[in-house]
Amino acid sequence: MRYLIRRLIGGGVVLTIVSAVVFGVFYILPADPARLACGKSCTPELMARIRHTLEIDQPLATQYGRFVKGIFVGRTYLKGTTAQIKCPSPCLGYSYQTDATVTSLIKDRLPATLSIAAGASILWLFVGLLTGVISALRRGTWVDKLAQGFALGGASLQIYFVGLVLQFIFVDKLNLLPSPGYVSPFDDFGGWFMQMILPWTTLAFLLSAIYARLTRAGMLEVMSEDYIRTARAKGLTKSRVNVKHVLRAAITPIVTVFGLDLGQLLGGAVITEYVFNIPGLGRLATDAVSNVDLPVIVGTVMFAAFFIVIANIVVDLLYSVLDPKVRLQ
Amino acid sequence: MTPFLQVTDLKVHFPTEDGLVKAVDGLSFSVEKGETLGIVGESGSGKSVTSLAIMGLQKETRAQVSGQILLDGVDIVAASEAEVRELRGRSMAMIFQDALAALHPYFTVGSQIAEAYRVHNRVSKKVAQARAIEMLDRVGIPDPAKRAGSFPHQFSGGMRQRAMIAMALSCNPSLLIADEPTTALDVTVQAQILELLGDLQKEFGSAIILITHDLGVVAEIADEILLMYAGKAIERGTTRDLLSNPQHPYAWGLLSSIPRLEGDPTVKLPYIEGTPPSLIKVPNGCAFNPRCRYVDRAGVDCTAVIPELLQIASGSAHEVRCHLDNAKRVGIFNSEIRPSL
Repeated sequence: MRYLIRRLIGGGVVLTIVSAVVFGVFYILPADPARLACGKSCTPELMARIRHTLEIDQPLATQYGRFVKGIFVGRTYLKGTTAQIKCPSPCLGYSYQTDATVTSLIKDRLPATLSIAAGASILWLFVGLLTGVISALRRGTWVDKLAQGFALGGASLQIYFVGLVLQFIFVDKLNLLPSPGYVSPFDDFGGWFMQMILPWTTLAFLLSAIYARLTRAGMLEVMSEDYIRTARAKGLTKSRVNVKHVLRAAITPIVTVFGLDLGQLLGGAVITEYVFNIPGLGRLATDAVSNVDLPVIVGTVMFAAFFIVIANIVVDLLYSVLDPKVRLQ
Repeated sequence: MTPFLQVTDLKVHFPTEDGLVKAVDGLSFSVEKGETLGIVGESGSGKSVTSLAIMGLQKETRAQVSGQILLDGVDIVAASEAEVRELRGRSMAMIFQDALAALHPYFTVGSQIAEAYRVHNRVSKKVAQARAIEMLDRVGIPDPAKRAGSFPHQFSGGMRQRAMIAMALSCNPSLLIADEPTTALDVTVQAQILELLGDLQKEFGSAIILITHDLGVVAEIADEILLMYAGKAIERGTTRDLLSNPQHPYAWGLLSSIPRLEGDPTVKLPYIEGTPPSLIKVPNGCAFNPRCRYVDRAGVDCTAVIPELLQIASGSAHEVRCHLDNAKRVGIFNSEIRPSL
C-alpha cells in the first residue's frame, strides 16, 4: 500500500514534468494562435482583445498555473467579451477552434481508440503467445521456420503498408468487409465489429510478431533451466512441463511488455487510425498539430502520458504478483 | 537373481560440431536395494551424464544412449519415453546439485512436492498437500505446514536441499540418485544432509547412487565406490577397500591430495598434474596415461591398448583398470603412497 502511494506520487511528478515541458514547448512555438484566430481583417485592437481572451497576454507561468488548477477544480474561459464557458474538472483546456472543451473532445474520441486497443491486444497476445510457444516446442522444424519467417515479416512491415494492402484485398476486391470507419458498438455492434476487423488484424499482425519472438526466446531459455529438468524427473508429462512450468516462467517478462504496449496504444494509435479512418485520440492529436490547436495538443499529450504512467504502475504491481521474488519495498 | 539396478556397457555419446563427445563410454555397475553406491570422479568424468541416463532424461535429445540399464527388470535404454516417465518420480527419483536452481522459483515448495506426489497417486490436491507437509516434517523442516507455503528463495540452502529430498522421496522411490547433494552447502549442513539420507534409506530401504567429487562424502555413507575417469570406470570396490587399499594411480593421486590434520602445514599438498582429457579426443590406450607418473614402470605401452577392468585377485569385488600388474601396484603403493597417507 505504501508502495502504491509512493508510485502514484512518482507518477504525479512525471505527469507534472510532462505537462510543464509540453506547455512550454508548444506555447513558445512561432505560430501565434491569436494571429490565426484574428483572420484577414485584423486590427491591432481586435488582436489585443483576442490575446486577452486566449489569455496569451499573461506570463507563461500564470497560464500554466491556471491550466493545472483547471485539471483539479475546473475553470471558466472567456468567449468574445462577455460570454463565459464553463470547463468543469478535469479541465484539460478549451479549444476555440472547435468550440469544445478538450476533455469533451477526448471523451468523444476515446471509445474508438479503446475499441482498437482492446480487440488488437487480445488478438496479438493470443496469436503471439501461441506462435511463440509452438515454435519453441518445435524448434528447428519447418513449423518453427515458418513462424520465424512470419515474425520477421511482421516486425519489418509497417502498418500503412499492411493496412492498405489488407484494405485493398478485403474491402476493394473481395468486398468481404465494409469500408473502414467507426460506429459505436452500442449503436451497431455488427457494423462496429466488421469495421474493426482490419485495424485489429493489422495491428495484431505486427505486434504478435514481436510477441512470438519474445515468447519463443523466453520459452527456450526457461527450457534449459535446472528446474525444468526437475519437473521432468518427477515424471510429469512433457505437455504439463511445458504448459505449467515453462510457460509460467516465460510469461512474466511478456506481461511487462504487454502492459507497456497497451498503455502506449491507449494514448492513441496514430497511424492505424489514419489508415483506417477511425476518429480516435491519435487522429485528434495529429489534427490538432496540423491546425495548431494548442490546447488540444497539450490535452492529448497529457492524456497519453497519463496512460503510460498508469500502465507502468500496473505492470510493476502485476510483476510483484507474478514473481514471488519481487518485493514491493 | 539380477540386482535391483544393473547397468551394462552404458554409452552416452553427444554428437557436436567438433566431433563425438563420449561422455560415458562402456560403464557397467549394479546396485541393490538398501545399498549406497558412490560414483566419484572429477568434472567431466561422466558422473552426472550417467545419472541422467538412468533417469532416462536424455530421451528425445541428441544424446546417443546405448547399452542396458535394467531397473527392476525394465530396460530404461530400450523403453519408450512414456514408459520411463511412469518410473520417474515413482520408482526412481533424483536430488539435484543446486537446489535453488532445481526448484521452480514461481511455485511454493509445498506445491512442488505435492505435484510430485500427485503425478503418480490419484489423490486430491488437499491430500497431496498434506503429504507434502508430512514429507517436509520428515526431512526435518520446522513448522512444515507454514513453510510449505514458502517459495524456494525464502529457504536457506540446507532447507532447500531438504525440500528437494522431501520431493524426491514423496513417492517412496526404490532408487534415489543424489547428484552432488551437498556441494553448495557448508560442512555442518553437509553432515546433516548425509545423515538424513542415511536415515531415510534405512526407513525406506531404497538404493542410493551418490554422485560426488568429494571422497569425504562417499567415505561417510557409501557401501561401494565406483571411480570414473573420462567416461569409464577405472576402479571399483567396497568403500573400505578402495579407500584403504586404492589400486589405480589416479586413486592414489586423489587420496594423496587430501589435506590431513596431522600433516606438515609447510609442505605443499601433492596434486595430479595436467587436466582432465577432452572427451572428443580421449588419449589412446589408458585415458589417464598422460597424467600418470608410473607409465614407464608398467612394462607395456600404456598408449597402445585400453586396459581391462580386472579383479585384483580372483573372486575379489575390488576391480581396477590399469596396465601396472598386481605386484607392481602393491609395490608402489606400499613403498611410495601408503607412507604419505
